[in-house]
Amino acid sequence: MSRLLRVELRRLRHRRLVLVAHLAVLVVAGLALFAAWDGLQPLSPAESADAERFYAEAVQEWEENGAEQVAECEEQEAEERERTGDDTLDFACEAQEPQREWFFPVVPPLGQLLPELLGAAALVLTLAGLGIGGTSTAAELSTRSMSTWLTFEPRRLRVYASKVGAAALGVVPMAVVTLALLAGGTAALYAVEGASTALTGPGSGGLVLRALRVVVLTVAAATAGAALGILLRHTAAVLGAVLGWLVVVEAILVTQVPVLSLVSVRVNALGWVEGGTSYYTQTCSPGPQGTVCDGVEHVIEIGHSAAVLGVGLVVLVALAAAVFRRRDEG
Amino acid sequence: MAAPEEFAITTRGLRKTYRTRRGRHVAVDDLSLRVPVGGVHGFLGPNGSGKTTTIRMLLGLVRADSGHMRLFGRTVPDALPEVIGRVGAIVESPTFFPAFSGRLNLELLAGAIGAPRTRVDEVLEEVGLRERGGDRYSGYSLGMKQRLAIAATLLKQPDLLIFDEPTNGLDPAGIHEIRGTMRALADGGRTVLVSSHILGEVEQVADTVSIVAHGRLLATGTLADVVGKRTAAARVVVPDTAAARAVLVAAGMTVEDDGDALRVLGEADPGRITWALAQGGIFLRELVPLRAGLEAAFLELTGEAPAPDGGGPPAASAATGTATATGTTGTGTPGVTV
Repeated sequence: MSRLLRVELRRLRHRRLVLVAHLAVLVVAGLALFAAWDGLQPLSPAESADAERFYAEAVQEWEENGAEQVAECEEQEAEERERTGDDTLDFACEAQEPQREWFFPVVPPLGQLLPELLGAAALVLTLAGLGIGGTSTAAELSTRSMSTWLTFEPRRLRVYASKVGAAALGVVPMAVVTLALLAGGTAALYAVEGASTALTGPGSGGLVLRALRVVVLTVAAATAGAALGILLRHTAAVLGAVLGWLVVVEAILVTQVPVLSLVSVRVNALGWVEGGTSYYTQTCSPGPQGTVCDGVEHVIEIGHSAAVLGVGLVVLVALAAAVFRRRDEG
Repeated sequence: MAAPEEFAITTRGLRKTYRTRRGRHVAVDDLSLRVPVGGVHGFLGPNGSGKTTTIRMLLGLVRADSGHMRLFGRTVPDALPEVIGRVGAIVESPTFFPAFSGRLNLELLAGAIGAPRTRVDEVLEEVGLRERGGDRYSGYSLGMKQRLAIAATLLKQPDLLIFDEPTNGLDPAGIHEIRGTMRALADGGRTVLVSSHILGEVEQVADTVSIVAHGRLLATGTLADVVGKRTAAARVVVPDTAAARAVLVAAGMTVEDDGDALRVLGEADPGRITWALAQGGIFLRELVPLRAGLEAAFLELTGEAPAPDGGGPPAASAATGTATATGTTGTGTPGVTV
């Protein structure tokens, strides 16, 4: 088994599409680093002048109409307090006065930027993992080289396990290097540009754990891709199925029926990376001014997300194994 | 009756059907096959006769609906993992990763069976691809691809080699080369099963043959058994063909023109021809007995093959190894395709 796994890893390393996927991920990571560097640069004289002008215009507007805006805001606040019976509601009406820093970009703390970068990296790595996993198995079926392979190793479940295992293991270096590049590169840019490298800010805690969860998600995506490749036999079919799922299920069904977020791959993948997430439903009730709807937040714990993704992956892998074991090849 | 271990391949009552839009298609129907250990065994049949499906079932690529199969006495597909190391196979056109070099393709296969990398060099050398091993597979000619496939089968140093239509698309030189390779492998003590619909390539190299059509076995045995030892025709050169024709027809023979000569059909005894002509006062210039070829036997047998859903003669009657070609003559011209 380990021999087959080694061979499959070697085969994966030589696949051109895999190399392209790695390069694409690195390019995206490079662009993210460039964006981070760009955010650290001081404004040009022209940009500063523009910002000063916009600030002055906003102050002038506030001086002319600010009192009226505050009064209107306080009126709405009062109405809402009356409707909900919650006297603690605060619309922060006085805080509308323009502040100078609003018009001049502030460098986000490293501890705030890194979780955002990891979230973006998770999306890219997941898609790359799916593609690499899919092409690793589908290409063998579409080129019919699987038949040749099976005349050397006819134990299909071993073959299947080695191919899916190789796809899963094969993306680990890509994920680790990408995340290390993003985290290390961003920290280095902050240090070079003289910005604070202190890991403070929301989401800064557990950065390493979050990065590990991104790696696990990438591995799961590659595993799912490999299983889909076995089932669908063509890389294009795998990519088409993923795209179809994203559009039909994630973008349309889950949006229309928010409770489906509980089993949504996208929502639960987000919950897994973020350490939990939430979705919203609306509760509508008749009021004196007509039907009033309130958004209700439903928290999805990370354990739930892990269970949904894990069970889904196991079912997919088992289904593909059963099909591959019995299917006629060649 | 030989013990099963004397056969490299045995099948009994093998059956495989495929679902198609028009219902079920019987690809292999009650096929019982025996391929003796050693020598080249030709597995012949028209396109779509079930040869490739049979080979795929033997290799575990396709599941049989029913029946039994053995490789070197071991039941397959159950015991395939134990016996596959003794079997090298090319099923239809060779299939490798097009973007990989020939050498890398072989190294991956060698890695799967634990063969050392030096073995890759050996087999590349053996098939004459050592210099081109580093080239991308997609850049190989058809003949090179076929040779690489043979090299792959040799990685295992197998006792049984299965070549499914190995000369498809090859030029005459390539066909000659593959034929030589098969003969050399058999002479080296290996068993070679070669499936083909090109009779000439098999006739020149096979020791034994099996003929199938519509998934059923029609004849099997040594080439001599299947073709028949008798002459099926004779070419007669005489000064006066018209007179000779009249004499021979009067003697009850079937005669047709053959250029400047005559061809006497279905006559096994040249003596009868010379005697009849002598009786007619005609001097014989030349008499060439034409041995019935595999092509003739093949055409006759497959022409009689029952349709899958029809009646027709039972396969068993034709599978006795005594079938011979009659009524049609041929010389087994290489490359004749049916």
